[in-house]
Amino acid sequence: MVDAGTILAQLADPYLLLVIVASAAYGLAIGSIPGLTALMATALLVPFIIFMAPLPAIASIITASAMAIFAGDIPGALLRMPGTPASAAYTDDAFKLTRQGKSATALGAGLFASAFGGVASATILTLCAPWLARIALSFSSVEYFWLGVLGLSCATFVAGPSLLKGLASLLFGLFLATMGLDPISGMPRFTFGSTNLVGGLGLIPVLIGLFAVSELLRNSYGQDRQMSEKAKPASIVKTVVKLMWPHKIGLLRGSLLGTVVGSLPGAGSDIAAWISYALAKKSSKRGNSDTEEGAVERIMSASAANNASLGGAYIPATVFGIPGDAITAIVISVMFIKGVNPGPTLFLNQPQVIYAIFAIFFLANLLMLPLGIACIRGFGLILRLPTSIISPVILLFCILGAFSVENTLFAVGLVALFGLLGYVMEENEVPLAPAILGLILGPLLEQTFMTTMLKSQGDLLTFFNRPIGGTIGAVTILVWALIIGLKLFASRDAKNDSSLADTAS
Amino acid sequence: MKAHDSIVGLVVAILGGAIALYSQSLVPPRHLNYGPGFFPLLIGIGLVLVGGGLIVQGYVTGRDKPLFYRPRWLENRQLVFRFWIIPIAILFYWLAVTPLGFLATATILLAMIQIANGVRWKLAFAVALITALVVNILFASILHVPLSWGVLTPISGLFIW
Repeated sequence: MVDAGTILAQLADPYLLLVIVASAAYGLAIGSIPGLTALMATALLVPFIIFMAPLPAIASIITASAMAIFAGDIPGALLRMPGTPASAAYTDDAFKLTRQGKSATALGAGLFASAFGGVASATILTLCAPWLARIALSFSSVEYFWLGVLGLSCATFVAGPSLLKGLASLLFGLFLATMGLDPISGMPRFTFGSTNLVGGLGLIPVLIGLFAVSELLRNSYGQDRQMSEKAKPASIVKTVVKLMWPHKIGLLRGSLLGTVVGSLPGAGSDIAAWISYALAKKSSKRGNSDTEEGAVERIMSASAANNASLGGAYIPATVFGIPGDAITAIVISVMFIKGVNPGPTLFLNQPQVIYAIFAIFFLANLLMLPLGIACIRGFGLILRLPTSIISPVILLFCILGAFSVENTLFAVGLVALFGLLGYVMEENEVPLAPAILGLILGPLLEQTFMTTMLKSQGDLLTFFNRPIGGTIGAVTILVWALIIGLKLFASRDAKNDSSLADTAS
Repeated sequence: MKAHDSIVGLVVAILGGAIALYSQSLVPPRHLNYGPGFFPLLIGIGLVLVGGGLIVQGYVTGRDKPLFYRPRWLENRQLVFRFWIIPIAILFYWLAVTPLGFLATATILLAMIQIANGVRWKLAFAVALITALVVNILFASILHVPLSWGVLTPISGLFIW
């Protein structure tokens, strides 16, 4: 265990604190502009943080993403335009409260619940991660292979309504990961004679292209947004503090659920918010009512869950080096570039860094309260910036982001190519997240798979020989069987229903 | 542009087939049973199967749907232009940044998209120039990203601290 004094000394660095405050302001600004997600905020941070020391770099991402997730509530509550997908679940409830002149309740409930969820998940992260890391130290290639497969499976299942399209996206991502030198034999693959591809596809240009540029393309033919109502955040603190106690169960449920969902690879904050919202509505009397109290219960549960999922996502990221969502995928890339290699050995070799990261979680979520209130007040200014001027600036940052990480113009070309590809994929309901996770987890999956195959000389039973590995393998296969079975039943039911309807008509 | 599920499946299957075929050209080293083509081969087969599944699913559930669906915004020329200006701008940056330098390229790029979005050209150029200047100073001087100066190399000393 690390001495608390060492961690506090690291946190007292004025430069680190300045980075945290600046990232918080940046995250709030990006998150509150509709269409710009927390992921985009994180991706656009990379060219700046790449030049910082490891701790401020990671602190910057943690703070900006937490703030952006909360800030997405602001345009959601005031304009019925969720700033980030994570806020979409309770936008209607929050907007309804605003129309009744209770925007302070709607936004305050979101803010306090977000901070509560964030702190709760940070506590769970601090308590569980070291314990899990000790177990992870005994893992071999088999366990890592199955963990990778389980993560990718979850990512595919939760990605969208079509399992086949999710799988297509995942396999495409895995294919992209095979470009460059083969990890076992060192032979070049799919490089088409280009030296730019020998090192593989850069993660950041692909990520910026698929998410940020495709979003800009989609927004390009939309209407310019106009502010419709001004915020009336008169007495947020007074209003909400009274509401916290009656909704404690919703808050706790949301925080716990968010942390668990966030820790599953592939399931991000938006899924956590939707599940928590549905659970608040279905399972509690309070959450099911159409009154103001019901709306507050649902907002608090879902808002706590989406911020808690951020902390949850850091559990697989720090313990196994497996990203839980696209934001932690960026964090992992930045950690590798900075020489902080995520995985169980991080807890042995650099415990002071890992605990400082956990401490930053607490700090960022506490900082959310004063800055969030300030942001709600200053919201009008941010939203008045017209998208016709903002979107080209974002595009310039996309280009610079890709260029400054890779230092080649080839990366800029990749941004355009993957931007168009991401747009076409989303238009055809092919989810993007499995492709990104495939690209990130591909090398780990291939290496562990090939190592095990070579070690066992092709004996597939080796994948089930070890107790932990075999169990995770069995769970993975069970999950697959369950999901495919459910899909088949659902389609048979749908067919029966439609044939019944045909006969009736 | 939204395509029919069967078309999506066909594209996925063709991609998978191409990957599987290419992976056959990757010969394993003499001492290894499984070479660099083994994993891509599995991915290729997976894509062919998934593509096949999508073709069948598309045929069963969407027989009455059109093969291609044209969204309404494609009928509006201005909106089509606003869409394509984004990849064109990136391409322009790729081609122009080395000869023209970052400052000039970024100014033209920003102004070009703003004008396409309906911003008055004077305002567009003013915003573009100020933004490009601030970004240039930030990235070149503070973050030390090696941005090209191109034709503006003689005055670059003024902006690099």
